[in-house]
Formats: sequence, structure tokens, C-alpha cells
Amino acid sequence: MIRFIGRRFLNILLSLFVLATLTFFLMKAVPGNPFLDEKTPKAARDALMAFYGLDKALWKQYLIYLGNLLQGDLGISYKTPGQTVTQIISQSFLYSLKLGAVAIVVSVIVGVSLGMVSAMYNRKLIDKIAVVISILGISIPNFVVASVTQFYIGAELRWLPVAGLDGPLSYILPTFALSALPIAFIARLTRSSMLEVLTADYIRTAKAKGLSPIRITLRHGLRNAILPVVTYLGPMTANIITGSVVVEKIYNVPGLGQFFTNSVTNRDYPLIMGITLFYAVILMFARFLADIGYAMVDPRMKKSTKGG
Amino acid sequence: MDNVNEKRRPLPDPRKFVPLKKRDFAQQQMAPSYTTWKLATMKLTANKFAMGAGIVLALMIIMAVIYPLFTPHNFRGQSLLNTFTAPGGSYYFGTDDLGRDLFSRSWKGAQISLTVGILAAIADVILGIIIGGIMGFFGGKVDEVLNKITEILYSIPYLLIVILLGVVLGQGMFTLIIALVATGWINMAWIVRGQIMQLKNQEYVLAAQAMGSGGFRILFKHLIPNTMGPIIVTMTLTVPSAIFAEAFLSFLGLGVQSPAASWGVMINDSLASWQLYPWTLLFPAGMLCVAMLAFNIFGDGLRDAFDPKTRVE
Repeated sequence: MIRFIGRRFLNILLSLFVLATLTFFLMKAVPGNPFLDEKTPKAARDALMAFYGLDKALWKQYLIYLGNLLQGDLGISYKTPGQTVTQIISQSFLYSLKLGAVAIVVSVIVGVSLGMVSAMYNRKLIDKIAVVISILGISIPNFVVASVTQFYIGAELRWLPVAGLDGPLSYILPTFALSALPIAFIARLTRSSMLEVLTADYIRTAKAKGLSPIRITLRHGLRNAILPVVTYLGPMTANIITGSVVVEKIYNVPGLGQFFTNSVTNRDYPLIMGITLFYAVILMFARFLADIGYAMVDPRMKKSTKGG
Repeated sequence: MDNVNEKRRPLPDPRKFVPLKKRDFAQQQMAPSYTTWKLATMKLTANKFAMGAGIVLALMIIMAVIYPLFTPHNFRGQSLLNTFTAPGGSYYFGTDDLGRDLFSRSWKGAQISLTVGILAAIADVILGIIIGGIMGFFGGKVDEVLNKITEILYSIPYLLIVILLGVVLGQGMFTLIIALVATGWINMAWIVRGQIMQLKNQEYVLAAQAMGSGGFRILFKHLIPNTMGPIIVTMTLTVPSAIFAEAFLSFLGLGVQSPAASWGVMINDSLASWQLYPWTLLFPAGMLCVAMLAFNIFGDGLRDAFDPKTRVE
């Protein structure tokens, strides 16, 4: 188990290094530099270039960048003067984190219950409704869900706040837009693996022992059917985080996603690099944790990692 | 299961000689054996949902090519006298804020989205087959090194690569395709690798070796044709995710740019106006949903068709 964790951890570090190198050189490959402006006098431009260390040789800049990165210093934003990238990220990520965490919890709870109910009532009306819901959830893009619910439920009916993130009510619409797809996916995963598990011999034994149906589905069925859902947790986190980029734009949440799209349109290179690396770290750790979770839930995995 | 059969048909008394009757032979006959392809086609045609989705997709692809035959307008032409015309007359889907015909824009969007989706999927398949094939077939050190490289590449989120490449190469359809392929081929390579590893110890590979075939010939002539099933399934399911990525990025303003028509661009354009003129959102979003739905259902159907566990009903 420890060897498994160690290997995965090493992989993450390697990937981050590759990504940092890739982003660095891709950014430098773009023609021009951020201070190329007709109006700026040459002397001032040179001073700026020297200030940001852009006058040095490329390999020197790269080494300096990596050195700073190791110390957690992501540089200074070009377009929001006076703020370091780290400051921007730590301020805005709080919003994204709150929204994302709520969306993840909601997706898992609703998705698993939907899938379970639909497996228990296999081929009955409830199951058919659940299947239709999950197919729709997979096919309707989150930005369409977000703008339509914002208009009808927020602006027309005035039931819920239209934008921003203050107060628990304002979480409902963005969370719905973010979790629609993961809910649908988790429901499908749970349903199909639950159907498979429910035909297993130990379920028959449990029934023969006279356990109540609810106890059988929860204790014997769900525990085994949940495995595919656990593996999906990593990709789901990625999904919700990338989804939050667009949902934050629509609901005007001052989160990290907003800053990311703005930094791309503004060509604010240090900010782009910083946020890219930050996202990558989060996504990789989410996948890492999901893998560990999987190893802990799946007894077969435990055995093979112990032996090897 | 065996118990049930024995109960139904008692064993003959061993002391008495009873010749087998004709129906006994008939019962022991095996189910007819089909090739994988034949079986998959049978299962797919039996699946009404998947067939329906397939027909919708075929119609969509055909319409995306021949739509100019049906309308006098083109997707770029602006007519400022006819802004926000409701659907009807020669504007079947109405017009947008610049008086552009939404019918031709929607189908032009279908063209772009389908091109992105299908080209990305095809490129994924080609790269995935070559590299996955090499990994699976040669194994050992080659596999180890390539596996490490793909693992590292895979852990980089695709959206970041798309956005970074967009910054560097300029935003547009081909940047999108390149970026989607840059991360998409890995999944395909792993699937091919797994399949080849299962297949390479089969007798026909040994036979081919005995006949003096070289490694690459065996790989491309004997092994890869036998892995086509899972490859096609993965490919059909890659298309909707590529289409979604295109729409998502264009919506954010990071993909295809505005005078060009793509569903994502059109949905973004409609954001300011659809509350009053709902058709500006309805048609592009509706077509996007239908395309994703159809690809997903068709892909699921294909997966079931190639899955040995499901049966023809």
C-alpha cells in the first residue's frame, strides 16, 4: 500500500514538472511580450523587462521560474498591478471551493440514491423516469442548464437569487448546474453495478437469512456497488472544477474560474501559468485520493497491494 | 442451474436400453456460432433506441453537408432590417441580433461541431492504435517507458492544454482539434494495449510467426483488426465529448470565434437576447443536445452490441 502511494506521488511530481515546463515554454513561444506597446517609451519598456526579469536568457528565466515555483512563488500578475498570483488564487479559490464542495456532496448523494432506487425498481416506472433523467443530464451542457434556470427560476419566477454567492439560497442554482452531469453519470454507474450485484449469491443468502430489503440493499448491495462510483470521484472533481469555470461566469461568482478565463483573454501570462498549475495540482490530488479510496474500499486491491 | 434441468427430464433407467430419440439430438445441438461482427450487427439492429439514434445522426450529418440547398440565405450574411425575425417565411429558424439566418448558422454549426468531433476521434484512433499497438505488442522496456510517459500526459487536464494551445496557436477549430487529440489519444492507446496483450498469445499469432511474418506485419495485419470492436465503441463515445468541449470553449470565447458559426458561439451570442427572442437559444442549444444525446445513445448501443455478456433477445 505504501509503495503504491509512493509511486503515485512520484508520478504526480513528475507530471507537475512536465506541465510547468510545458506551460513555461509554450508561453514564451508566443510572439511579442506583455509590454510591447507603441506608447511606452523604450527606456521604460526596458526597465519593465528588467524588473520582471524578462531580459535574461530563456534558460535562466526558466531556472528562476522553477526555483520560485519550488518556494511557492508564482510571480506577479501583469494586469492586476500590486497583486501576486498567489494572492489572487487564494482569494478567489475560496468561492470556487465552497461551490465545488457543495456540488460534489450533492452529486454523490443524489446520484447514488437515484441509481439505487432505479435498480431496486428495475424496469418499473420509477426506473424509466430515472433513466430518462440521467440521459438528459448527460446530454444537456451545463452552460445551457445554467443560463436557462437562471432566467426562469431566478429572473422570471424570482424564487432564487440570480447571481452572486451570498447566503445559502444563492448556492442552489449554480450547484444544480454543476451537479446535473455528475448526478446523471453516478446514477447510471450505480444502477448498472447495483443490478449486477443484486444477482450475486451473497444477496440471495442475505435474503434467505430473512434480512429486510432495505438492509440488504444498503449493507450488502451498496457497499459492493459503490466501487465504480469511487473510481469516478477523481474525474468527477475534474468535471466540476472545469464546469465551475463556465458556471461562475454565468452566475457572476468571483471564483478562480472567472480569473482563469479573464487571464486567458487578457494574456496575463504569470496568472495563466499560476492558475493552470494550481488546477493541475488539485485535479491530480483528487485523482490520487480517489485511487487511495478505491484501494481501501476494494478488498481485492488491498490484498494485491499488500502482497506486492 | 443443472438441478433444474435434471428435474424436468429424469435420467433413463440404466438397466433398460433406450435408444436416443431424434429430439434428444436436436436438444444437444449448439447455438449457431457467429463472428463477432455478425453478432454485433445483429444486437445493434435489434436495439431500437440505438438504431433511432443512428438514423438521427446520419440525417444530421447529411443535412450539415447539403443545408445550403434549402435556404436562400448564407450563414454569414447580415440583414439589419431583419433582426430578430421570428421563425417563419424564408427564415425557418428566425434571425439573430445582426439579422443572420439562424437556420444556416445552426447547420453550419453542425458542420463545425461534427467535424471537430469526428476528426478528433479519428486522429485519436490512429495515434492510439499505433502507440497502443507498439506498447502491447513489444511489451517489456518499450511498454514501461511509453506507459510512464502516457501516465504523466494523462494526468494533465485536457482543458488546460486546450486553453494553453489556444493562447499559443491562436484560437480556432484546428487548435481545438490538436488540443483534443493531444490528450484524447492516450485513453485509446491504453485500450488497444490491453486488447493486444490479451490477443498476442493466441495460436494464430504463433502460426503467423511460424510462417515468417515480421513483428509489424503481425501487429497491423493480424492483431489490430481483431481489436476493432472496443476501438469503435471508444471512438463513438469520444465524439460527443469532443463536441461538448468545442461548444464549451467556444461559449467561453476560447474556441471558435464569432463570425464563424458553431453551436457554442451561437449560444454565447444568444445570451443577451434569448429571454425576449427564445429561438436564438432554442435552435443551437436544441441541436447540440440532440447531437450529444444521439451520439451517447448510439455509443451505448454499440458497447452493448460488442459486449459478450449481452444477448440478442
